[in-house]
Amino acid sequence: MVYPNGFKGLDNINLNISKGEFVAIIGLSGAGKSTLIRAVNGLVPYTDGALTVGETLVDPRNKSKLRKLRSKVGMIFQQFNNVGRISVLNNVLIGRSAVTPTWRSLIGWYGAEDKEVAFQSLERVGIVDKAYNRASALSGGQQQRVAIARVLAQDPEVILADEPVASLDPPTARKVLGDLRRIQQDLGITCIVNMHHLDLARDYADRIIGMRAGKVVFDGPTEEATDAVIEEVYQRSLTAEDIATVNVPVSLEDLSEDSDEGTLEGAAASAEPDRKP
Amino acid sequence: MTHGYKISAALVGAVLVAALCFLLTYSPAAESSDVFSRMMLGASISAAVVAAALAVYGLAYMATGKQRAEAQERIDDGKDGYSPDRLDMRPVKPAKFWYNMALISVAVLFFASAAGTGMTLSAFLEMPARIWDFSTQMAAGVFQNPADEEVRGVWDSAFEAMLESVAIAWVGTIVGALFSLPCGILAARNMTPLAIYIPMRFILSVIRAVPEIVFAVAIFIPLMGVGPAHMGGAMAGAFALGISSIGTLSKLISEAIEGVDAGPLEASRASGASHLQLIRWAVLPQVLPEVLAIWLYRFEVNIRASAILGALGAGGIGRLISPPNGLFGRSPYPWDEIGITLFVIIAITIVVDQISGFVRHRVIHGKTVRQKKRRKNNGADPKAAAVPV
Amino acid sequence: MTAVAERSSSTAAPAPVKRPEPPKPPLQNYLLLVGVAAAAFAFFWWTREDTSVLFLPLGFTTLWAPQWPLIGFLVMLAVVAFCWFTRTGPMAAFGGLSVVVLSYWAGSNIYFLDRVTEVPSRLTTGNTRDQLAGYFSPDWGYLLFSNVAGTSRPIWGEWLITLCMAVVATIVGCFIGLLLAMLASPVSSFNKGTSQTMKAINSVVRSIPDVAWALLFAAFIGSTAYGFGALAAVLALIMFNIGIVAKLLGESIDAVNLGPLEAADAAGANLIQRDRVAVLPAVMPSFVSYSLYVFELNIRASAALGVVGVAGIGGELSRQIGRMSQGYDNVGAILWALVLVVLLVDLLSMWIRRKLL
Repeated sequence: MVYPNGFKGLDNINLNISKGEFVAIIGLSGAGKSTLIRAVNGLVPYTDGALTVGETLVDPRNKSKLRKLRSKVGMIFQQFNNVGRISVLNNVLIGRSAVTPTWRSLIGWYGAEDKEVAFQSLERVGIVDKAYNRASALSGGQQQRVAIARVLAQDPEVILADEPVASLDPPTARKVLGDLRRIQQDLGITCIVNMHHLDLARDYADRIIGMRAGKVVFDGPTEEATDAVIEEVYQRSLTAEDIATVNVPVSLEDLSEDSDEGTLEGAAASAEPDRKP
Repeated sequence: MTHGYKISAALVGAVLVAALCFLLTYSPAAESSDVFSRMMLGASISAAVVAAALAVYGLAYMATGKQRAEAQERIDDGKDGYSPDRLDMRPVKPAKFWYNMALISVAVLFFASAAGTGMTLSAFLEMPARIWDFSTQMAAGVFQNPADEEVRGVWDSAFEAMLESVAIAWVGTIVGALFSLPCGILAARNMTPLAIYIPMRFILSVIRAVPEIVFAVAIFIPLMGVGPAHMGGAMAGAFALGISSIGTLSKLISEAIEGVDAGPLEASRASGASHLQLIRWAVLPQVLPEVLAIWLYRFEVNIRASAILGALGAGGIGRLISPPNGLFGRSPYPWDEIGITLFVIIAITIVVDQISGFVRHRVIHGKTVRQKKRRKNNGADPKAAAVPV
Repeated sequence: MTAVAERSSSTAAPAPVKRPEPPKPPLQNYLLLVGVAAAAFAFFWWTREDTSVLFLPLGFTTLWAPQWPLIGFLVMLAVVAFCWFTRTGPMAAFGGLSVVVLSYWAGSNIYFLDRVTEVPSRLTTGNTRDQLAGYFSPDWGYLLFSNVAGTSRPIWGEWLITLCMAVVATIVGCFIGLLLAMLASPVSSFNKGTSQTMKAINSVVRSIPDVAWALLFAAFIGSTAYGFGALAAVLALIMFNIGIVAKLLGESIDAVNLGPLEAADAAGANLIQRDRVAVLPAVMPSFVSYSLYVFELNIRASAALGVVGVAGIGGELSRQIGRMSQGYDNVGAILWALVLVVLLVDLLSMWIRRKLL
């Protein structure tokens, strides 16, 4: 995965995430967490390797195929990315875009079933009473719930969350993350979450992936993520030397992330994380 | 007021408007002015259409009325083992009655106005053929051999007149800029007392209300003269542009000053600065880049405005496209010359725009012209991301 | 570093450090500026006769030469010297110098000093003073009860048609402008090619003045018995509005928050859906605000369009101006009414803006 300016965002990533898992990706800023997550739904086109979601190969060049894929892969953002000036319900209905005919979106006349799905998602996150409020009038936690509802309205198989709680205060962060965890378990959705907060990752995730400088440096169930391991992910990176290495171009072989549902045999490549000395 | 009442009120309103407008088509006012009678007819017809639509909607609403009443009763009584299910927890969609009424009124106004202008839309039928005809003539004018003596004369006079327009715009901008800074300060609420602020604002809005061409014709042509530059018309145009520039420039500058960071002002006041010192050392350094950008923007606007002024004898390229020279004076209309003139206007305007846009960008953002490119790969910028937060 | 720390810790009162001089701008840049001034002087000296010509690739075009080149040169040098002694940066000094050169050229190009010194004599002789005085004694009766000369159409009907044209042109022009702005902004457009093309078209549309549009459309449509009728004016105003709205709104769209767009993308929306649900709501306040602004502009522009003989109050205004000495009080009435109408529209749009946004 190489950026146009020659910077390598991800390097030699070999991951296999199975259906229904709640995976937390931790690491410093600039470690490639966001890039990894955005590569999954093609918001950041990867340059080398192969990435499949279910049976579908993510092909950044094929726009219509990508759109079809994105309808099944929801995404939550740090800044919520709600449209502030329209109602909460309309924000959630953005999630129905992929299954709504363009002319219906154009005149804002969504079908009854779309609205039903939107209301159900709002009920799931518990802010149905705010359905007709302006999105910008809500608090941070409520806004992130709107974003979750928007994603749920897509009826997704995978939810990607890019720092979903980084702009929330700690109690709200726990509540939102708890909601996400509950919904994910109820519906059996695969969930990949970027996080800064180690304690939150430990409390909510099934599996933790540590990243540094575009590489996976730890991958294992939450119980294995001991302090020593985490220190390896975090502490050493804090020195000036480690930061400098981020800009040094390193060789890139391959990026592949298989999110096979249930079956793991697609993973000929090892699920073993690449540990760098 | 429930939804049903609102619908009926709107229906009655629409019917009343339709009836009133229809009656007004027989009024003496309509008899004297065909514009008014056409407008009223248009308004009454469109209001009638709105009334019909509202009637259909109202009937549909009434048809579902019984069901709604039953459901409401069920909720109110809480009888028959009723327990609120999740459908009842959902909020009711708020009716945007006034918003919709405003939209409908705008639509009625639009149709009434369209009727009032008395446009004959059948003219559109023959338009494409004419557009093609005249455009090809204009293009032929632009692409004919410029070495030809006559053609070169046309190009020369077009360039000369356009340069005169640029000169007019520049002088107008300079005049406007000189006056706009003090006027802008006097019209900024955080700089002046109310007693100066209100008359200043009023004067500025009066200036802004008058089109520059009117300033030119009504005031400056008598004062300075009419015709091309050496007769004084150009000067009249420049002053007209200058005066109208004062209006807009002062308003924009006063808004910029009102948006200034109040901290330095407070600090200067606290250290005993006089009002002028405050303006010089606390206000001007903050707003100067913005003010320069506003001046340059106005220069771009003035270039466009100066291109018209000549149509009324106030100098510049407008005299080459003005009716006395072409449309009425000579027949057939010299389309090749008009083509060349328009080409020169477009070319010079775009060139000046580009230069002024570059300078504006430079003034506001400093040397980093390439900022845009870097912002594009936002979340992925390696240098920004490498710094631990 | 360490030495400084030691010293400040050992002595109670630190020794006076050499104070920095204000930075001096580089001398060679200033010499360059003097060179620029000299070049401008040479050019002006060479073209000081009105008959002098400047060779342009297309032919020989006369550039009206500035008057008194020596004085101009001295002023330029004075500006450079002033900037040098106030230690202004060379870029800013260059800006100041170019302003002086340009103003000098433009000012003498349009005979600035001759005309300004002539103003007092024009005020005392001829009927200029009567004319200006006429504006302050407007003939309101004419405005309310008269007809357009030679017809049975009342003057107030001309006002009505002006407003009608402004309404129609604003609504149509703003919607087309919205569409073009969407197509022209790289944020909301299909691809880079489309947005570049639309940007180019927009700047061409914008650079043709409204009077020129009116003339073009008048010719495209064909004239009626009374000048050109309303259609040419409406079409001209529409083109005028498209240019303004597409430019201003395009800038708003460029500056839109990209987050919601990314969210819509991630939800699988196509481009049109994304523009509708994420871009349009974000720019709606600016759109409404620009539309109201454009409405105000239209009323003023229709006064200017009158000069080419289109319908509305502008036509009547230019007819009255054409009557010269007899029309002053009528012209005054129209002008004052125009100011009033524009002020009222201004108030109205301020009210709507407050209500809506």
